[in-house]
Amino acid sequence: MATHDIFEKNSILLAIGILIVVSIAGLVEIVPLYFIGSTIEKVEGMRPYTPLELAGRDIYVREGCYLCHSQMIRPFRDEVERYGHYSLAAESMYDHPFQWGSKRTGPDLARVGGKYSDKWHRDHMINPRSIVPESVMPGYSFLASAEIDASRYAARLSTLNWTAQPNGVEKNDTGAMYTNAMIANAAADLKAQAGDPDSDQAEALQKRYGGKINVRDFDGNPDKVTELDALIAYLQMLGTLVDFKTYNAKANLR
Amino acid sequence: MENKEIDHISGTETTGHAWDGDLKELNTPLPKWWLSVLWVTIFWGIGYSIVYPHWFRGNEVIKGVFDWSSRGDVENALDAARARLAPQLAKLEKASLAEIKKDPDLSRFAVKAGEAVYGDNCVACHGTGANGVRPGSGYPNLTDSDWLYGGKLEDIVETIRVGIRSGHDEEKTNTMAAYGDDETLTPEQIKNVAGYVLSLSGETLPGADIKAGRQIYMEEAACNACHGDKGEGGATPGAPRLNDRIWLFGKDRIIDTITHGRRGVMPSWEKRGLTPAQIKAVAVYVYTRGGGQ
Repeated sequence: MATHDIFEKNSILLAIGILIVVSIAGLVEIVPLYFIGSTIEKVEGMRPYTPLELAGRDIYVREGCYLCHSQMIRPFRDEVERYGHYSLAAESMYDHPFQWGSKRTGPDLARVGGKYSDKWHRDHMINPRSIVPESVMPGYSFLASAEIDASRYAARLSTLNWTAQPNGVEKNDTGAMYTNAMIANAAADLKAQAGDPDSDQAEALQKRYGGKINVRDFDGNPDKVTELDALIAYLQMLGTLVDFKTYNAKANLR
Repeated sequence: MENKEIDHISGTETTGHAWDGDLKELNTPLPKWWLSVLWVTIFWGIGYSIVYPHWFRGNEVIKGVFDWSSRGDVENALDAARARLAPQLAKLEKASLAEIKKDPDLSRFAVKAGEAVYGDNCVACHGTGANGVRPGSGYPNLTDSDWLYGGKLEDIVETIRVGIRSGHDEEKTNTMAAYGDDETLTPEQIKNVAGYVLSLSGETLPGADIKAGRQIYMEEAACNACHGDKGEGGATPGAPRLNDRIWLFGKDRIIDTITHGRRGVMPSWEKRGLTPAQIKAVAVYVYTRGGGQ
C-alpha cells in the first residue's frame, strides 16, 4: 500500500496538505519583502495626508478616478521623460489602499501636483472639454457645490491609525501615524487648509504636518469648504513630497 | 515497486493502482521533448536567479552577476539619450535667436525638442495649437502679439523658467486688485470704467458713462498706472494691453475682472525639473508659433 493513501482517502487531510504546499510559494515570495532593506526604502519628506487632502483622496476613490488614472510612474525612459521621476514605493506608504491603478485612459497622476493651476483644475473638473476639447473625462461639476462635513475627520484620522499604519514609521504619542494633536484639530485643520494661508490655524497646520502644505482657497469659493477644494488640494500635493534634487537615485538602484 | 505490471495490449507499464477491482491505468512515460524542455527551463531558472537579482543575504538582496536593476536600467537609458542629444542641447542653450535662425539644423532641432516639451507640459492650458484653449478662457493665447511678460525669446525663457505666482523665489506676478470686493469702486463706477475700457478698442457697453469711466481710469482707480494712459498696457510687468481686441478673461467678463481681480498662475518649469536647454527649446517653439517679437 502506497503511503499517500491516507490523503486520497481523507479529504480534510488532503485540503490541509494542499494549503501547506501552496502557502510555501506565497511565504517564500512575500515574507522577505517585509524585511529586505531595498523593499522598505526610506525617503525624506513623506508625511501623512492632511485632513483636507485625505478628504480629497476619499473623493478620488469614491468617484473611481483610479479606473482611468494610474499613480505609478514606471522606471522606463518614456514614462520618466513624460511624467517625471519614477515613483518610489515609499511615496505610497500612507496610501491605504494604494492608488497605483492599472489603466491609463487618462494620464498618470503620480506627479500632477503643481503641474497645473487651481483654476485649471476647477475648469477641468467642472467641464473637462472646456479645457481639453478631445477629453473623454466626465464632468464633476457637483463637487463644487457639495460641502464637506469637517466634523467627520477626527474619527477618519483615528480609524486610519488603526488600519493604515505604515511599516517602519516612527510612532507618535498615539502609537500610530496621526498624533493626538492632529486628531483633535482635524476639523479645524481641514477648514484652515482651504482658507487664508496666514491664519493662525494654517500656521499650526504647517507645523503639525511638517511644512510644505498648500494652504489656499482651492475652489475659488472662500465661503465654504467643498469637495472640489478637497480634491484639488489632494491633486496639487501628489508626488510633491519627496525632493528629487536631494534624492540620490544612484545610491538607491534596485 | 515490485508489483510492476505490463499491459499486454499497449506494452506500457501500469501505475499499480486498481479501482473497482480490476480498473487499472497506464503509466505512459512523458515524451522526451517535453521532459527536456522541463529540464532546460529549470536550469535556465537557476541561471537567471544567479545573473539577475533574486537571492538575498540577511536583509539585503544579492545584486546578481549582471549587476542589473530596473532603476539602473532607466538611468542608463536616460544617460544614453542625454549623451546623444548633449551636443545639440548645449549649442541650443548658448545660442541667441539670430544664431538659431541662421542655423537650419539647430532651429529644426529646437522646434522639434520644444514641441515634445510643449506637448508634455504646456498643452493642457495653452492648447494643442498654442492658441490658449479659446478666447476669454483665461489661458493666454501664445500665437497672438499680446505678451504680458514680454514676447522676446529671452522674456519667454524667463517666464517659463520662473512661472507666474509659482512659489519660485523669482516668480513673476502682477496685481489686478479686486475693486469691487475691496469696495474701492461702486458697481456703477465699475460699469462706467468697463465701458471706458471697451471704448478704447471701439466697443460700447450699453448704459455706461464713458466720461465718468475715464475719470475713474485716470484718477480714482488709477488704472493707467499699470495699463497706461491710452490702455497700451505694459507700464508694469504683466499689465495687459486694453486698447486691442484681445481679452484674456473675456470681453463680456470685464466687469467681473474689475470686481474680483485676476490672479493667473503658471508653474515654474525650472522648479518642476525642466533643464535650461528644454526651457530654451520650448521657448523657441512658442516663439515660432507666430507671436514672437
